Amino acid sequence: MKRKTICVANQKGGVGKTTTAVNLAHGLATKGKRVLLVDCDPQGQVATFLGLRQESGLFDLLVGGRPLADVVRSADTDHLDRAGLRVIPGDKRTATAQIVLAAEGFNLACLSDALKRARVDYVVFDTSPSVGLLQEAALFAADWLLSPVATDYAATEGLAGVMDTLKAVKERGAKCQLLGVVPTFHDQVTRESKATLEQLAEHLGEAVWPPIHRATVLREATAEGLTIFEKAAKSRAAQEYGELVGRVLGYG
Amino acid sequence: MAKRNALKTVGEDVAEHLATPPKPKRKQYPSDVQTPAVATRLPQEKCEALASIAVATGYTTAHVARLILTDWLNKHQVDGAEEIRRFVTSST
Repeated sequence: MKRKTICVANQKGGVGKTTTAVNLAHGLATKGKRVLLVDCDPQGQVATFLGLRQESGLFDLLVGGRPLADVVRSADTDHLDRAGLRVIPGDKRTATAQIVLAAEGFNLACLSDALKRARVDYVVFDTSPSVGLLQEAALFAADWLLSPVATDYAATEGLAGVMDTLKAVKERGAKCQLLGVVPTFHDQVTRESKATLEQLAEHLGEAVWPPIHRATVLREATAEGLTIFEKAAKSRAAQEYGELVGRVLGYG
Repeated sequence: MAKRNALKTVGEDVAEHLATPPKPKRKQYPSDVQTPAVATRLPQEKCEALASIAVATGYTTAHVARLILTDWLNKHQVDGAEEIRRFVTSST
C-alpha cells in the first residue's frame, strides 16, 4: 500500500491530540500496519504516554543531521510488545529545532524530506497546540489532517486556527486534506458538551466523526504509559478509538 | 452569535478541504448467489407453500424469508452458504 501520513492537529491545548495520535498509531499497528509515530510537540508527551523515555529524536533528525534509522525507536517496553509501532520521540529540544530551522531559512518540506525513506504504512504526527513551523511542516508532509476538538464552548478556536494553517500550506503546494474532526471529552450528561456536539454536526456535517467520550480510563492509561487498547481493551474508550482506527483504515 | 458565525466560517473551510469519504464496501457473496435474488429464483409454488405454512403458524414475513432461504440452502451446495445463513439469522 502507498504510505499515508496523518497529522493530528488543533491549535488549542488539552483537546486530546496526543491521546488520539498515540491510540490511533497503536490501533493501526494492532491491525498489522507498520506505523511511525512522530512527536512534533516540544512537550515530548508521546514517549511519556507510551511509557518510553523522552529523547531529542526530532531535533537530532532535523538539526543534528542524524540518519532516520538512528532516531527511530521501537515502541516496545520491558513488558509490552508493540509490534509494528515505531516512534521518533521528542523533548524540549524540539522547540530549539524550530528556532534553528527558522534561523537557517525554514524549508517547509523538511519533515517530508527527512521521512522520505521511512518504510511504513502510516506516519502519524502529533503536533503542538501553538502555531509553529513544525506544525506547518507536518501539515505539508501529511496526506490527511485529523483534528480532535473538545466538546466545550471554545471548540472552534483551535480548529479555526489549524484550518487557516492548512489553507496557508496548501497555497504553497501541500496536498493535505481534512480527514475528520473528532469530538473529544464528550459528556452526554452536560448541556455544554451536548450543545457543542450538535453545533459541530450542524455546521461541519459529515466531517464530524463519532465522539470520544470523557473517560477516566483514558487518563489512567496515560498515567501508566499504556494505550487504551493495553489498559482496557473492552472499555467504551477502546471501542471508540477502535472505530476511529477502522475509519482511518477505510480511507485506504 | 459570534460563536455561531465562527462555526459557520470554519464549516465552509472544512467543506472545502474535506477528504472524499471511502465508498462503503459491499458485502461479498458468491457470484452465483446474491441474497436478494435467491428468493426470486425459487419456484413460486414452493415459496407460497412455505409462506402459507409459516404465516399460519404465526411467523412474520422476515421469518418466512428466512425459512425459504434456509430450505433452499439446505438443498443446494453453495460456497458461502454458512455466511449467508449467519447473515439471514442476524437480520431476522
